[in-house]
Amino acid sequence: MLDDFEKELAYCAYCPKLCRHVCPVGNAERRESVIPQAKMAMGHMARNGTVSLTEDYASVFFYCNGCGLCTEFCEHDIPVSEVLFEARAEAVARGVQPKTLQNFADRFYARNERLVRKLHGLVDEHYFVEEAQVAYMPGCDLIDDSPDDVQKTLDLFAAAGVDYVSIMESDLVCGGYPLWAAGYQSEFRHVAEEQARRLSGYRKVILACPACVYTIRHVYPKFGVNVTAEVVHVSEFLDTIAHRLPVKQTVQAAYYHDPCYLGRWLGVYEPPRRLAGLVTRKVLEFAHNREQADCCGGGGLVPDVAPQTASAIAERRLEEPNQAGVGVVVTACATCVKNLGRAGRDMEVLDIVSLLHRSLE
Amino acid sequence: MIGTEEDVTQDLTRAVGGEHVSSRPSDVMFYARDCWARRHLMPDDPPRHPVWVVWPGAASEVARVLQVAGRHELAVVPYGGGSNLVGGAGFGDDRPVLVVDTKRMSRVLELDETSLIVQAQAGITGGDLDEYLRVRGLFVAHMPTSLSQSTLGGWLATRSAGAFTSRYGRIDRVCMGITAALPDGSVVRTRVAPRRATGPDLMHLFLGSEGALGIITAAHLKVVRVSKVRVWLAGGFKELSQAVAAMADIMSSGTRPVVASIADPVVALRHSGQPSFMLVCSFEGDGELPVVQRDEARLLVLAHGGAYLDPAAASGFWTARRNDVFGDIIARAESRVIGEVDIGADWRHLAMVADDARGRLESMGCGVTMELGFFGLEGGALLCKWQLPEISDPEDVGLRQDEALAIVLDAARRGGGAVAHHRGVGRQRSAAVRAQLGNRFDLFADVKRQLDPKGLMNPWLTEGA
Repeated sequence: MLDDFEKELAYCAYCPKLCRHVCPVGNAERRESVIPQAKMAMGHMARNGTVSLTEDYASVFFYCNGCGLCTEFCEHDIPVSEVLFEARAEAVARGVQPKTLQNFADRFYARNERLVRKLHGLVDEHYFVEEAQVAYMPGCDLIDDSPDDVQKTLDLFAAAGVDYVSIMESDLVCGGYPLWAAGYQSEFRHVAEEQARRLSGYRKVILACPACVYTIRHVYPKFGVNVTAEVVHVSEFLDTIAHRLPVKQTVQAAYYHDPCYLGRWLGVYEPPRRLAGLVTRKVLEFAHNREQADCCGGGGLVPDVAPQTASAIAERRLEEPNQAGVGVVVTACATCVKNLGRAGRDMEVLDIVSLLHRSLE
Repeated sequence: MIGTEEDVTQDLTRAVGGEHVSSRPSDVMFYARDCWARRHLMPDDPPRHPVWVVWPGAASEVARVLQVAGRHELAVVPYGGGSNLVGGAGFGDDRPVLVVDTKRMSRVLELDETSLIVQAQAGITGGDLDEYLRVRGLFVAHMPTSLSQSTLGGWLATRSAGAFTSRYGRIDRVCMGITAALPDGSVVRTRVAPRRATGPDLMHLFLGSEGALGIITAAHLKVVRVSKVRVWLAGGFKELSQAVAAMADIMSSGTRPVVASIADPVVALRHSGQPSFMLVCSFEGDGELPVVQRDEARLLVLAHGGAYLDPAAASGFWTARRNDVFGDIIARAESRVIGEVDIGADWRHLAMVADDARGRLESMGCGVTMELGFFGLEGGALLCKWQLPEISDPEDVGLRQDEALAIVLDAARRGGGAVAHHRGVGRQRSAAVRAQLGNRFDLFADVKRQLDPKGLMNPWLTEGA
């Protein structure tokens, strides 16, 4: 088990907890068992047979947002979340995954089916163009939790004179990140292969979900699945057409929150900031920003496994704008909008698309 | 134990709330370990686990937890960041153990920016406290290498030292007052007034007590304004005794370096290109003062036969300290057996203790590196790290490690020194410290009996008391 990560597990197991202070889950939970060193030590002990994985022991693997901040602070660049996602797969293979993730694949497919129907109800059918070369793929959390942002995105394209983007025609609205993060690898591989076939029918695909952009670009190839289309995040695409967007400044000040997968994992920091700057007089930075940005708590299926922990992480992230008396946080990820939005009772948390749309002249 | 495990769980739940009590195997197993390499994982010798872990949120909850512990006669071990390298966690006999994790108590309670005093709960990590202060132009005058991983309570309970100790003193000089929960379930708060002279200062009884007398729940600390200017000094010396003599003069000259260390030639070579003992100092403040202090110290380097080195070697040495810890990880993961101990000694004996320990460790076949630091007017400390030669029989590893440790402690004894620095006694050093302290250890045990007649608190630190 976990044979590809022998060195990584050993290094972390013997590390004097040098990244504990940046782990969002560890900081929210305060439990020693969910700091990165302990989660990896559990993997190390499971690998060398010191412990037999039970549901309780394996549960620690699922207390990870996949944010990558621990790796940022590690001199050895240990990809902790990647190893833990692999450990999750081991837990699933042994049937010791958390109860909330049992039958997860069935629920993934059921949700997907519901969201395919919902997507068709959100926008006019003329946005589905069979011969299109460039497609827009909103992703599951956007369709589910910020449905208005789908049409707003299309409105922004139109406002900039971009009339060639179709909505991606597919019976899959997701790149499969949730399956990968849940440790359902065979189902993930199936979705990746299916989705890759559909994506490769386009020249370029614009995704709203940073986690799925990362998954398609970097995780698919690890499963031997390649996509010929250029896959970009919506903020990257909007940045290229921003000069044609008829927008005006409508917001005095807003904090920009870096989504982990867009920022640390994909290295996309400036495009969403530039977009926010078009319509915001002062784009404010969190003390921890860009490579060192704190997570919103929404990634890695932590909201499914430990919802209170995910909320606590979001509340901690919003402390800074709260203390500064700034009521707007803008980001570029529907999952971040959802998780921060739940925690920010008096805070307006919105996607960059929504902010731009509001500022259209 | 009096009562059943279920009774205890119910009482603890009443004390702190059910969500803050755990007996889950995945939780308790990690509270039997800290960062002591010898017990870090130990697949062949798994440590005994506590039965419960609780996360109280305030001193009053800690007091209630200790009342429960007293009622059921449990052994209680406080736990902060778990970064201890000498076995602060780990339990002796078969008494059921309750671990009190302080990390839910992690708030700054008050900051007095006029008097430069901060009050914070004991479970705050150094990193969080430092960040809180830095955005306000301040910093806590205490900088252990484990800053981000360790907690305020841990610093106090182990009488910690840090990189700024030469300027600001150890944590017992930085701390102005504490709040602690006692084994009888009461809470004591020491006065914070400066220059107080109201009899023995009970705060110092708790500093360094490693959880054997009670649980520190909050503390007042001195803080310092962030300086505008920092300049570095590096000097190379052929002999350690020369470097030590120069540092002694620097410390007594009033130049007041903030960072002050002496690196051994192996380490110095990496940063300066010179295989000499490297004296490193930083001088910090506003205006011209740091430069004046640095220039004064440079003259003392020359006066003791030293040579100037590029100041970049000094700043590079400072920056690389964290990376050295990452290097240790590789050694441990590759099953190389490394050990370390910190020894305090006065200026007259410091170099002698270092040379004695090095010579005897090298004759064992150990690779040795040393760093001297944590200086005061009267002396300083020696951090001695060694790597054992390859040992064919795994059963010999423990014996050889004990032998190496004994060599260094004996060198310390011969030079009138003592175990020092921020790692405390722990399981690793308890026997050696007992031997070192003689009847003073019995006195400590008497004090413990008065405060903790049932012997609840970290009973294995004073085994036999």
